[in-house]
Amino acid sequence: MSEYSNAIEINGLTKRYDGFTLDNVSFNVPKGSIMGFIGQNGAGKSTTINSLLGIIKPDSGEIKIFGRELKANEIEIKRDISAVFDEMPFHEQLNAKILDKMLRHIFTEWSSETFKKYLDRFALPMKKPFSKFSKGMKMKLQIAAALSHGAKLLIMDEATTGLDPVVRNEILDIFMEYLQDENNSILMSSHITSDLEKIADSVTFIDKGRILLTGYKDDILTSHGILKCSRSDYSSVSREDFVSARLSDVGAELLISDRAACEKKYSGAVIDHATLDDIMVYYVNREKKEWS
Amino acid sequence: MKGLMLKELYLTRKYRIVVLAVYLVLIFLCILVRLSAVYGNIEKLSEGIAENVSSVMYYIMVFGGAVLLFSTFTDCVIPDEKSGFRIYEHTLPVTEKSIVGAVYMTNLCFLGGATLVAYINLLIANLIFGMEFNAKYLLYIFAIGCVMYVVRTIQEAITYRVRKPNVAAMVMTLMFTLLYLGAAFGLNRWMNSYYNSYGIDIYEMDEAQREAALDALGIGEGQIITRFFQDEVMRVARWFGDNIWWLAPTVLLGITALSFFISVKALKRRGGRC
Repeated sequence: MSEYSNAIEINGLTKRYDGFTLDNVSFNVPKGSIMGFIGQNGAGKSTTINSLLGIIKPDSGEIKIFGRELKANEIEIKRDISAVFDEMPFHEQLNAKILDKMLRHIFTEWSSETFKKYLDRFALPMKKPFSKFSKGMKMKLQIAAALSHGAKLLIMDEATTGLDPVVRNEILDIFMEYLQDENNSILMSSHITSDLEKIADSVTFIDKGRILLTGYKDDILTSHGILKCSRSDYSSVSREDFVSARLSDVGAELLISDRAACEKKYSGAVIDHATLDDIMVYYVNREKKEWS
Repeated sequence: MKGLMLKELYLTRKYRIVVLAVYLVLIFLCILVRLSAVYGNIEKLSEGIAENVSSVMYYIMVFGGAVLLFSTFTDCVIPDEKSGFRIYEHTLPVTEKSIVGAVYMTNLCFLGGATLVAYINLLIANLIFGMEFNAKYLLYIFAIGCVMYVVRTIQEAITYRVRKPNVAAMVMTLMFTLLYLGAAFGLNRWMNSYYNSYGIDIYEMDEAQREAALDALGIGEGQIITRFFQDEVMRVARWFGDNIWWLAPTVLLGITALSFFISVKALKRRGGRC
């Protein structure tokens, strides 16, 4: 595989549906990193991921994976990709033994040994049909299958949604182990931002089919902040300085995107750290500017 | 493709086991009746009955058994949609041709396997029923297999195209209804042209005129119909019988290729959306 700096490069990705458009989406996932793809339901996360995986055909735009054009090298690229979905995509009658046999003939790099190692680690039975698996077991099974063929890129669509915190933490630990190899990268879409806050190196926010923000998580968290002030002070804050403001009877909380500049401009004002959750909520309400 | 074929085989194994069990029961019953016709109660019935019963059971064992064996053609096109596997398989390093090919190849393998079992069944039936070996039966068995395979293949193409099982079933029903109506219409026209050779036109003449014409010829309507089947229909049937060695594979390959093309195109057009 040739040298590349970004595991994923998306430029101007557009897909039109009746009532929804994924509009000119562009972002990169650096090699060896984990990117959190954040957005509310229906924001366009799954459409982007489905385009990346070749499940749907985009109307326009360019997708490069491992530095190569997806369209022209789909089969070769897919050998090094794994996908994990929120719902288990395997037939309920199958069991892990059959799945192992099946995927062994599909992926040239498939390792039954690795697969069995993960099954043991997750305490998943070999011969029990998937219909008898719990939601957590199904997710673990998907992850075991995803990590057993030496994939260099893991793409996950709401993979931790609906799981209890114990299972989620266990899965996040696996991802951290996976990233020990600097050639491996992860794109993880979720609206559970606490998970991404824990493990993501970079984040991309999407809303109504458009990218709002993309960059390193620490940079985004550092540059953003929640400015807290009274209702009377709020009126003196320039509207260009904040993304949106949550108004209440006692005062106002404003998301600012240039914390350093605001600290200078509004010296004495209380500016708290913003979480990814805050950033998502305030950006989603940016058109209203003021909300409660 | 091998991995996808394994999935097809595994998911359809229960259905195939049930069909195989029914097949074995049928063979067992045929053998029981034959034993009864030789040594048991049927043998004690009036002259000729045992022979007739034996003969009928022989054909049931040979051709009925073949029909059962060939009904093991099945696929997972709908279960793949329902389980969400259609999405997953689009993330795998396989082409649409491989996805569809796995379904078709599995059934082609079953066509070969079932034909072989049906041939062994024919040989066993010949031994048990004391019948002479007829090489044409080999072709007839293969032709039954081809017809059933072709029907399944068409159904697969329709299912890939429309995706919904109930709509696919409706399209199939409509297609075969039209085929039946077309065949009935064609047979009617054909029969009329045969009547014409006796100077009778079914469409132009009323019943009284027809009866008068038949009286003049000195034959009954039943006789003309019998002759029609003996002369015309049997001539065509014989032609099919003589040419089945090239006709069956040609139809099989032609329809398989066309269905495969439609299926791949449909899958490419809609991608992995379920």
